Amino acid sequence: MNVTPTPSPPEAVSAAPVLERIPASEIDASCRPPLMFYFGSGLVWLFVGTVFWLIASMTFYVPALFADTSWLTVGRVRPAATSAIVYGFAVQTAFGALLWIMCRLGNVRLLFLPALCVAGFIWNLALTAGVLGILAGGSTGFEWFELPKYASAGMFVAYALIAVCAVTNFHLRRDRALFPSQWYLLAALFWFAWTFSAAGLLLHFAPVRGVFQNIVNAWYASTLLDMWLTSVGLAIIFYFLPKLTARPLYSSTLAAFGFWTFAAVAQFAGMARLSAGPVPAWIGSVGVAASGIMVVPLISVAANWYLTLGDRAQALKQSETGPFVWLAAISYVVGGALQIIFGFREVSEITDFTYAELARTQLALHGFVAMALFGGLYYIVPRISQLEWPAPRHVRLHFTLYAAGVAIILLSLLGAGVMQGFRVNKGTVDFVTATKPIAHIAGLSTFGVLLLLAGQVLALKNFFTLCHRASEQTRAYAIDFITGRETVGRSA
Amino acid sequence: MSGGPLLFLGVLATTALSFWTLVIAPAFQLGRQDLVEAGAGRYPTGRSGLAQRGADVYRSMGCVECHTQQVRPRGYGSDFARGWGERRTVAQDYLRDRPVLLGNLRIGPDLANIGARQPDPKWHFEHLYDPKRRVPGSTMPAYRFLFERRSAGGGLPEDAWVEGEYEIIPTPEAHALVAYLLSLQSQVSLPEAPLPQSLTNAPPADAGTNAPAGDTNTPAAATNPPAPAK
Ligand code: HEC
Repeated sequence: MNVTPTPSPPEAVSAAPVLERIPASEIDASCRPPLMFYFGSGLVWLFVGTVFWLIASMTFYVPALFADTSWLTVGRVRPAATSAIVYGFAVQTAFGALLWIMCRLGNVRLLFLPALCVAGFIWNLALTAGVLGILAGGSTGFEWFELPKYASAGMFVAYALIAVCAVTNFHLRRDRALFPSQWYLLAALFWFAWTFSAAGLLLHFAPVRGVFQNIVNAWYASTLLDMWLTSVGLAIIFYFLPKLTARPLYSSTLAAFGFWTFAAVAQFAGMARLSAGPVPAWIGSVGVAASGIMVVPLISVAANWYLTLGDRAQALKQSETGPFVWLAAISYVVGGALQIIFGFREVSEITDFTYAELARTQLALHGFVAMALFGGLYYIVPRISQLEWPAPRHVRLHFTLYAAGVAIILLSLLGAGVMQGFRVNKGTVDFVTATKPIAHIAGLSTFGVLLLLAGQVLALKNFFTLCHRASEQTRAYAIDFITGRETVGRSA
Repeated sequence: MSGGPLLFLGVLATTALSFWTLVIAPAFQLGRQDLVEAGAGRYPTGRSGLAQRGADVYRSMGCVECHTQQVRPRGYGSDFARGWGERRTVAQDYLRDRPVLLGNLRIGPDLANIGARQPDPKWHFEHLYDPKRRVPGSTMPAYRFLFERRSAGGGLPEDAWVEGEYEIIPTPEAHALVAYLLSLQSQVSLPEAPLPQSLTNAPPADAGTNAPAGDTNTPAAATNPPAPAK
């Protein structure tokens, strides 16, 4: 398998000399309880969040739709949708993918199962309270940090528990060599712990004054999306690309270079959007400079993937996971390029405060992060449950629906955003006249949201049918165990 | 990469750097800020209790999802031409706000100076109840749940109006929200963001002429045509 002398793909070669390897199936089985819980609730949250998103985008067409229902007013449904999708789906599913990849690469079984399950429980409970809180009017008003104080506090406890378990598990790994995916995952755990606690402290518990709040908020939001979720997405791609194509990673030196430039710069890049804001000017300038430098990690990561893939694109298409990973990689590159372009002053003068920025975020969240997570999920779930997907064709269909949905959302929001930039940000036509066509174009994104929703229904159906089969199997074993001795005798 | 500890230290260093730059340094710079003598007293002037409660309604309704409260510097887009402010907004303007709802999407107009632009409470009540009443073609959602509808008859409270056979009466929340909207004004001249007229007044020779471009705070704006309402 290893024809080139470049560094090894995951699990191909063990650098550590002594320890006997644990079979992959055993590692997978050890991950089952918490991961099935994270993935299942993640999918449910994604569906709930997308339904909220649909409700919110319906007001594009009928502004007076929920005029009598304070719970469903856009200003509440939108942050509820974001929170459900980001914290319920993306972060939670990322926990699962992270733990599994770390176990597989470190060749260890997943430990601390009860703690991980309890943490998942706390996370979902706190998030439920928080989303209901937002619908009842408890949003904090901070972007991507809208969940009320009590919810963030509960989620922080859950996060800390998961992170401690993950890091301890990592520390006990048997395969000591580190693969790029592990750099990203370990760093991600740390970054999020730091920013989540700092943001909670500075925005909730010892609130700071004035626009300092917005600086902290921007720092937090960019760490959440552009570092923590992005890192997990990158780790998934770095893991699966060599694995599915059966080719070693092109260069781990290049990967290290990409990783460290990313680690040093990405947190600053999020400040670019404050560049014309009422904050000290140097903060915006740092952000603008950083977002320009982001081209370095972007190109080195993309080149590494491209050279790893070589002529094996076909192999990628044949697996269930492959297409998701492939599209995630492309979305990452396109989204990264958009972020860099939006960083330039000449461009941000137009794209500031428009749908174009929303387009960038949605691409990063749904085109890149969610795609990578789905790719991981479709690979991991059959292995940890030791069952096949009940409807493999629906996996393909899910991919097609999602790809089309993301494309529609991206293009409509980008189109609307650029138009908004010229007509509102730079133009002086009367506001209502200027925005009328823009709302229509942005409204097209609703069709994209519907496609996403359809894809999610397929994923949910597949997942819960699989769970149902698993529980039937368990019940059959249990009945055998109680009634028929010979079955037990045979299996023992 | 040789191992966990090295990786950990590297990541720690990068995070510490960003934390220092983006949190600690601004804390030192902005932490020293205090109210200043400007305009009629200490600026920013505090809000009334009612307006303060209105800020809470504004936050809880998520108006920030569609409205910004920040005017960009001169030369940056058409914020001035739209009459969204006479000067850019600066950190000083937000010193008393909690949370500071700068916003980052402009589906609706900027509201940093809505209190100066639209000082009529009646306008706001009707606009919130049904935006299209006041702004034909508006795509802003209606906030009818901030009003009470009851059949006409009896004395009409202040700020209420009659629609068909119903009286539309703003709830206390609506009153608070409108008080807050009227309090949104950042038109006090500050050293770091002077109003155009105070600039043109200072060197009289400049008045009415085109100042050289470059400085974002040049009085070039003084020659702008009077801003339209939106
Ligand atoms: C879905 C997006 C959206 C939300 C949410 C929203 N608005 Fe608006 N708003 C608009 C649009 C679009 C306009 C421009 C049309 C108009 O004036 O009605 C507007 C206009 C306004 C104006 C008039 C501005 C001017 O320059 O004349 C005010 C005041 C206002 N909104 C206040 C609010 C308040 C208060 C809230 C929260 C309770 C809110 N808006 C929520 C979209 C929104």
